[in-house]
Amino acid sequence: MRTLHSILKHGGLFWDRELLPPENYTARYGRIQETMRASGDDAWLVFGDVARYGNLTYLTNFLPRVRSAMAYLPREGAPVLYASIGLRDIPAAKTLTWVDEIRVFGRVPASVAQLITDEGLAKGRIGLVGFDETMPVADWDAVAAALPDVDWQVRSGALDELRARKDTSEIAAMRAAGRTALTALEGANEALEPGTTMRQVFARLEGAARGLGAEDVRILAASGPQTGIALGPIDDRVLEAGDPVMVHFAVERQRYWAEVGKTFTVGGAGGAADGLQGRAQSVLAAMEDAATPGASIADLAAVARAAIGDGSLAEGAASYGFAHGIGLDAEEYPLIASHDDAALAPGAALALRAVLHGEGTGAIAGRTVLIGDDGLERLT
Amino acid sequence: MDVKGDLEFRVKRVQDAMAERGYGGLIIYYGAQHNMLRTDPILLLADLRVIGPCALLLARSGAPRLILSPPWDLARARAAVAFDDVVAVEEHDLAKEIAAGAKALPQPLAVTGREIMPMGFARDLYAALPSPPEDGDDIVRATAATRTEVELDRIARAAAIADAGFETLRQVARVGMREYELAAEMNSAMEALGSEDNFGLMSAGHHNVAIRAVTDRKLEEGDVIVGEITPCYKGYFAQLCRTYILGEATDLQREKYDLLLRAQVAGLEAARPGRPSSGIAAAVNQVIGDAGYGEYCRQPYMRTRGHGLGMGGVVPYDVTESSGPEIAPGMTMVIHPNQYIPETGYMMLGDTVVIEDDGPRSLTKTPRRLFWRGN
Repeated sequence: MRTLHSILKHGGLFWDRELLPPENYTARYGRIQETMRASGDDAWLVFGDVARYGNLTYLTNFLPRVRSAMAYLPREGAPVLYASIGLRDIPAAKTLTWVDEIRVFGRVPASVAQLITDEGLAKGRIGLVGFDETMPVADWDAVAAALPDVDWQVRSGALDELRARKDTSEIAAMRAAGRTALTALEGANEALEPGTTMRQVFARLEGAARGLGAEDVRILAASGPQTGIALGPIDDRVLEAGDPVMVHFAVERQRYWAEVGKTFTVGGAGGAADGLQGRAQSVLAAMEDAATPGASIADLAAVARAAIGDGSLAEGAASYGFAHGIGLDAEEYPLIASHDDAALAPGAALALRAVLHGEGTGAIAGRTVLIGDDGLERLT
Repeated sequence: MDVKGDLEFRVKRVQDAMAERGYGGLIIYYGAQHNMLRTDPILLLADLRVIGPCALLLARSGAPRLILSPPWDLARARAAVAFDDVVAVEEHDLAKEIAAGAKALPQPLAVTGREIMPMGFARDLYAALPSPPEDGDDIVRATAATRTEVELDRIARAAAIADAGFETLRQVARVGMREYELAAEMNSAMEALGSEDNFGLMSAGHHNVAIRAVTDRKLEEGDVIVGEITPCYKGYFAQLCRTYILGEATDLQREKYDLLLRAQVAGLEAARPGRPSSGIAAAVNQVIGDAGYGEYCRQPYMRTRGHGLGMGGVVPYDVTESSGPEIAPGMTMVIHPNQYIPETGYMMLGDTVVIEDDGPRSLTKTPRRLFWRGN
């Protein structure tokens, strides 16, 4: 879900160790070290920034609040976490990760070059995770120039596969995020009153989610005539009775995201969006039916297009994406943008959505689901 | 206020800088990661907060061209910007589209935003260009060291929202409340007033070692709540730092807070046009050092004595004894002698100011004093 919200977190940032036990991370690290031994890599560097940190968080539970962070994972021995923070921030950072050693990034390229040289790997073979997506090119150019003899290997795919199948604690965390989103949205009908502004309504709903422990909240919305055009950021429009209001609402709690899409009518009365809302719901239902192990994101998109029927409605809906992975990143593998044909595995968590704009009105239906061996579980 | 004229002035400043550096065309890349630490060049030059990665293409004269993603945001973008040439593409086509547009610009080309451009995207972009563009580095940010009238008005609005945020803290903080619940109440109040963002930090405890993000800790009687409240109005930030005691302030706390008050007065006195910004830090550190805490005027006991603030981190950037930029009229910054003191823990005091010919004028209006319940 792309919005123009800040990517600097300002919600509750703490580690619920009962929900996400430290042993999970050490076990994952052990698996990664086995992968390194099999591939002949000396170490991996896992990089993330404030917008995309899922790979880093999957292994460390750490989340960069500002700038970037990087984990150094040697084939043997303990990891080291680098973060773009000040010395004063280290005590708080330590509460978020099982990694004992946290170092402060100076300039990122200099820190990386120093680390690799100190570890005796200036002519080593090093796997890179998340670099293509998040490492700034200016920094990378300096790293590559400082370490000309390192054999760099892109290893992001290995983590994509692991992360695509959620484990028990991840599923519990996503259920909690889903509950937070739904509980916050329960206040929407009451908040959506004629005479109030969109900004007032969503300040209240976002506040409700943050008051329940959300680390982050993302909202796209549209009301009245705007529903016929596009979703967008919150504006100052004054609501009128009967207005349709489209809400795309995502909540992050304990690093895990869940999202939901709903259409409301101001004052509760039926409005022009009802017909389109029924259609959006049926598209979502069709995708839920098709979301089984072995299906692909591309299959879900095809099902959604068929359920929409109308060409322009379908094209508009497709521009938002019908489905993608969700978890530690609000959008993660498998991504609709990649037109991925990979088969969904049990344990995959997906954000499904149908966003329809037509004839001066609009509707959205969306939820987060978990694909299981025994069927689909709705997380929102 | 003439927003259109103000924007044309900002674009012209960049075009003049391009001419000085000998660039024919400029690719201004932005990754849509909105935050307090970085200037948003699209908002600065087009008054649009983008949703996805994008680029503004600029020749030495004439109106810019905006290429943005995702396509569904095109209608909003066209309605928001004052120039006509706005197109949208899927994100996976963005590098190719930018390269195609850049080829039509006068040469030589420069690019700005390499410090945030993901290396995968850069590889695609550079592969689609006939030759690598020069690194335009901070050309946009450097032209925006001082605020225009429109920008200053927005920062003043953000400052008023920050004041309201602190007032909310005073009204709602109570024993037993979790830190994140208090932050949520403040955030909600500020959003209702127009805040789009809040780079908020808030810590509570009997002896804080630093400011940090809020946690699930429950507030206790006598807690010292330190808050760095940084709302954003139409892309522009202001910051207020204050300290609130959830109970009665002790004589020791009042005495040590007076030290911060005196240090801030000294810092404000040093914030005059033509002087180095390092002088602000030196003045603050002098007061704190004279009180016997000189060894605490370094990390991790404090971070900086202030920083440029407006649209992201701006000139003079971090205010330290080694910072270089000269203070100029029209700059906006926060001056905060936030400090760990062994007897009381970390305490905060900071205000957003605009530099005028005769010195700084505070945009935040919350009284400068230690606050506690009932006072």
